[in-house]
Amino acid sequence: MELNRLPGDAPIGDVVAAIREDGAAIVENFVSDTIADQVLADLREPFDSVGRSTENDFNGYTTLRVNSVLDLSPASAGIVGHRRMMEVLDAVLLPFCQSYLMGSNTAIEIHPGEGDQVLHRDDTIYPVHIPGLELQASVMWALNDFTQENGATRVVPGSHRWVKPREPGADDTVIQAPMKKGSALFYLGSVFHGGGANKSNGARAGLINTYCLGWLRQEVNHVLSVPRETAANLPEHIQRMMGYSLHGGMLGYYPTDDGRVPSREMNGGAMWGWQTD
Amino acid sequence: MELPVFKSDTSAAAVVTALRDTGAAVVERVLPDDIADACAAEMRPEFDRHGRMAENDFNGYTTLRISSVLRYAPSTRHIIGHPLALAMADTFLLPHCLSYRIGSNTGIEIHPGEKDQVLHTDDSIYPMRIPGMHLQINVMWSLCDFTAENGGTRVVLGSHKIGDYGDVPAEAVQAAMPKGSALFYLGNVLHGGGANHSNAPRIGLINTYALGWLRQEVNQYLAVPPEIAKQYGPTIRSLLGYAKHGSSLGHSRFNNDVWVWDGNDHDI
Repeated sequence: MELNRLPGDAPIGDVVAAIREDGAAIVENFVSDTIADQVLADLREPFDSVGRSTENDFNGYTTLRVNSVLDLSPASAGIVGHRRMMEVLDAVLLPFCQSYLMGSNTAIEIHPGEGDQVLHRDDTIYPVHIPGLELQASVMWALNDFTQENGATRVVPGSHRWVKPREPGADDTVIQAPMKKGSALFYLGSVFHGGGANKSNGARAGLINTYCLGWLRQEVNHVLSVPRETAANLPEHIQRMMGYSLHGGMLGYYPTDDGRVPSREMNGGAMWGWQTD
Repeated sequence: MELPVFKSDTSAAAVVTALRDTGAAVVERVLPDDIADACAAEMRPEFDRHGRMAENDFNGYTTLRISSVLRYAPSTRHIIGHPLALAMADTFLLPHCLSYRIGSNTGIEIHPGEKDQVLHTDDSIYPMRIPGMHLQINVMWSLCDFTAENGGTRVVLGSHKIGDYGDVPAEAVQAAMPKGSALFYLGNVLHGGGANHSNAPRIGLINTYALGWLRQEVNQYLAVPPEIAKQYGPTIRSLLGYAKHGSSLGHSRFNNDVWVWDGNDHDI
């Protein structure tokens, strides 16, 4: 069995249908090699300097991880806020919210010798589980080629439809998602997945971005984690997903310079909040 | 059904029982006058400067409103972190989360001439209902005497048990209470400010507390940023949101000095 695989120019509806079927799907060549290469180049130094700081049984011991990628790689904005990706997310998340937010932006480089990561769901950071109501969706972007040998992500297809909470067992199918650089693996927050073992002799680099319903707390506090001077230079649709926005015209408000709360029509200039004193 | 009213020496358990039954309860004279007065004094400049900025059909046009009082009125920490408020929040929220946060802290001064506010539920900012699961608990503190004439808060008792309250005729009772009292009401209880038929303003502070995995009503990281929040003890900093929910929700790369890493220290 293989995951559904669509070309980068596939109609959005086809991508969404494929994701709903298995809980995950691959869109090939979704971002240019130029952007993928640039992001990986930007992340090289952070990977090497702080990439080992999150080592543990869950994350592995020969895997490098870097958070807050937006602050480290300006080019990553082209992936984090990828417009056609957002059209897919609109279809998946907007049935349950009026706007969604970024959860986390995590670059992961799995080095040779790493074992299979334990299969897990990303949405267990929220202590509610309502089958059919997706709290978040994730997109893994290949920054170099993902293969069976070098640790392509493993997915348990159909696990988003499990009604009773349980862990994957020996009878459940686990399939790997090899994909070329610049491709994207979409998977729902309720889908069991994990990084693959790297049995090759090269590192496998990817960027995982998660997006959660706009009325939930974000996995990462982007307002604190991304310096304001960085945030100011990001496109407005990314600023909004960082949390500089309101859900439904009310939730998440903050005072602005003149004491008003930002309106639904606020422009990017409102993100600074209340600065006059 | 009558609004339950307790004296300040009540047990927390009695208030909990009343809240489960009616959805709202008053505890009288919880705060010493000096705390209530200090809070009102510290909020005064902000009322005068920004209090009219939130005017609209919902908030009214002769009512002053100011948000995020911890930014400029540090004495409010004694109210926001009051042990009785936290005891109620523990009881109603911790069954559904590992830690809770402040939603909003709003000073409201209703001036003479204001009309009844439309009855509403505060937790409707979250588009989800799971009966029996409380998303929020809220407290209106009177910083002067609240009377039937000057706009004491109106509450629809029992409305937290109505499955679909949209069509239910709402008969509200009014919470008259002396200065320094607390009106507790669950997030799904219909309530609203009262009309002020007196000749003096009525000043109160409403604090909301919500499950720690929900988005905060106010983005406290922008409203009370680390450089201001660091003046407070770990209880207030945690309530503001400078602490994770569980092991991994809501973490931050910076601001380690203001972040609270464990919940064992309860100094305000």
